[in-house]
Amino acid sequence: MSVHQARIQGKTFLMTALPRVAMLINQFLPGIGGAERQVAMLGALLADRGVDVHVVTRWRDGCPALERMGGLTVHRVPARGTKGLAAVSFTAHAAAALGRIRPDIIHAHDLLSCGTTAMLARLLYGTPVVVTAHRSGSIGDIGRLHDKPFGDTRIALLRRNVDAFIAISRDINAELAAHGVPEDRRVSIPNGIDTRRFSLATPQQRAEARTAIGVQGGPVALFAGRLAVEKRLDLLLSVWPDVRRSHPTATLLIVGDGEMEAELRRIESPGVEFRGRTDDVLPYLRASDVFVLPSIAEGLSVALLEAQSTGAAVLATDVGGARDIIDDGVDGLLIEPGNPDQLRDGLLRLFADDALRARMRRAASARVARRNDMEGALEKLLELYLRLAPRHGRIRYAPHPSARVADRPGWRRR
Amino acid sequence: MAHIVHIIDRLNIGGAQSLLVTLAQALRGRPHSMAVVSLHHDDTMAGAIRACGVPVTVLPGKLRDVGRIAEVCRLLQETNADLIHTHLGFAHVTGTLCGRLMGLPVVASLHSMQEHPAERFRDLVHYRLQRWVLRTLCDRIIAVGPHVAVARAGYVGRARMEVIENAVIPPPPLSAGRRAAVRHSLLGSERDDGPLFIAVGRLSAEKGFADLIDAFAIFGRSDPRAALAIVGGGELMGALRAQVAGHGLDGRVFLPGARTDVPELLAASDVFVMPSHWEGMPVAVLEAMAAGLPVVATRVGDLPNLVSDRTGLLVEPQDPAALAGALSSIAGTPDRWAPLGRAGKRLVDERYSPDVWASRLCRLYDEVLDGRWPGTGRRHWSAIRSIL
Repeated sequence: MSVHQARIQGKTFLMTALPRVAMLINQFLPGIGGAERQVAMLGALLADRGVDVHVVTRWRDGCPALERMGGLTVHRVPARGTKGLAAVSFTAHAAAALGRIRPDIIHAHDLLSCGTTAMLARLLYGTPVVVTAHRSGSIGDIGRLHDKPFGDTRIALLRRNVDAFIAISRDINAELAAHGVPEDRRVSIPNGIDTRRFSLATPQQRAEARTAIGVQGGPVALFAGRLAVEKRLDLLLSVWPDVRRSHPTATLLIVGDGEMEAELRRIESPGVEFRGRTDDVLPYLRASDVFVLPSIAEGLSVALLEAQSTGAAVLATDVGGARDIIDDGVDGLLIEPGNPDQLRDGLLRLFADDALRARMRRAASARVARRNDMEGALEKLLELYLRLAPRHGRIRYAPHPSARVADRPGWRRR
Repeated sequence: MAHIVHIIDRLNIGGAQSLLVTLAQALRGRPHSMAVVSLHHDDTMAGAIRACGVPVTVLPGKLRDVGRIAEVCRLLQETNADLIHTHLGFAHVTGTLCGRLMGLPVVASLHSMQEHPAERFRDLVHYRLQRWVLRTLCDRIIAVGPHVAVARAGYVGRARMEVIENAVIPPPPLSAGRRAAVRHSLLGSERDDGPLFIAVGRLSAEKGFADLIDAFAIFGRSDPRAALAIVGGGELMGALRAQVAGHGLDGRVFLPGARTDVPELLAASDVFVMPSHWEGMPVAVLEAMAAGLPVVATRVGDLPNLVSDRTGLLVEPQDPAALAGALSSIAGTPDRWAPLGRAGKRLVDERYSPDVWASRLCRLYDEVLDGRWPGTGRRHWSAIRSIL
């Protein structure tokens, strides 16, 4: 039998069984988006630790209904009809799927249909529910819920029926607090990234990456993410010619796809390259001098964290969790959302000042390693699950410091 | 300031009973007081507990007799008990039911890795009943070692379980004259110049003494001066005596029966052997290590936590040849006995001191009494309690 040692609320326990977790998420891999990738990565790491992780998501054309994916079991349930009807259909099918999976914990990754489904499952099966809100503001979960019919009722229901809310940034935490979620049910777990993979690029790695992706000399700015309206790439493309006038060799790489792609490609601009979707953003990050994120809404951007960790100087709008991870002028530059002048000035300032960029990349990389490492996020999440999961197989044990219990065969230390 | 009543199946010689003696001594000077209730007429250890100033009540009768619950309840009421702590199988059932009837919190200690196999129907009934009370009616379950806890995790289901490892009070050192006298009393008039191996335990199959006698027969051919004492009583006494005679080991292997002076016997011996097929956290090994003996033990239960190459030797269970090898290797290096024994004593003093143990138990009692982790089902019984 495999026994895990775990600390829950400051006490040491031996775990003879780890919980089964069902993640509820609207869309899942294959597909790009920070939240989905975060869930896939955390899920895989949890599965590594011995947690049985299931993902319940909407069915999509061309994907199998049941699939094993790197330690995760992905269940794709049908969501028929349009808009509201699809949401009702998803809720019904997902609740039925949860009845089959019988998880110990349900983790919903938005407050809308996933949150509703989770509450329904809690009502039906008594399973504890954790909800993560991945975005804040008007297009964030609570903002969107407000605009829905019975929105406030649904928020009140969530407040009463969710066992723990995970806030990935301070502003989401504040938003939850403003809607009456008590402090003991708010858990702050910032997004994490694999800081070993996204390590500070050496000059050699940078040169190799530039060759690999085919970029000539001159400064490189990068945007990587979904090409969605709220990312405000139109604004970036509108100020780019001014930047290009001061730095005629500068390149702007745009990596990703999305609903705005065709429209953006129509905006002719020198030195702009659309690279489409990629499975590996690492060489792009290594090759870039500046990472730019002009969004008007964000949760806690994983792309931004990866850029900081790899050593690109970041220029981001002050929305969502950006303030949590960027100290303006120290490990990145913060600008007002939707302000083209600040966007242009920021790009020019970063391109012009090599010393500033070098200082920022060092500071940012160190900060991400300290605060946003995947392992840290994983520990907090696992502790939350263990705290909420039924007590099955949990044994309190404080071994003597010199005892080597965890070294015994079959015993794993956490 | 709580009065804790320990309910135990019987007060014969055994690990759980030695722990009660240790606790009776360790609780001196602490706010909690204790009393012991035994459900069986065998009261061999009662004297040792009474000697520590702890009242012992022996209720002779059948262990399975559920009708005695009323008797135990009356006793609990008379002694103003605040908490019940049960040890061993029948006491779990009787004690927990009494606790629920009286509205008292109940703590149960699991002392072994597994139950004896249920061969008869009434054993099966008892097994199920015990599992049910542990799962649903106990406030807290104590496992005596981490491996015991893990092995019993499925058995107790969602009940709250905590590991509190056994402890031992180090015995006073034995004078040379006394040591010689004890050795002489054990070995009789035989020559006393070789290593004396000692094993302690109830003479039942799972303790593996048959393996030990076989191993000693193999090893004894090369070392004719060595002697072995197997201290304890039990159903296998006749079979083991026959086995000894069959190997022609009379006069070298001794079976003196159950003894109350085990610490002295240990201190007078050279090497301790534990050949068990399964074990929890055996008090006998802790006692041997506290007496400064090197230990040869099987790799079962929590023994690997205690015994390593710094304190003795580990062998696989049910393998007389391997055990013989270990015996001869340790018998061949008498100069290593003292360092191995010292390391063992240090380990026991450090990790299994009665002080730490008693503090943990008291903290657990306090937690249960404070109702920080309230028990199950107490509400339902408060009505019945008013009837009694």
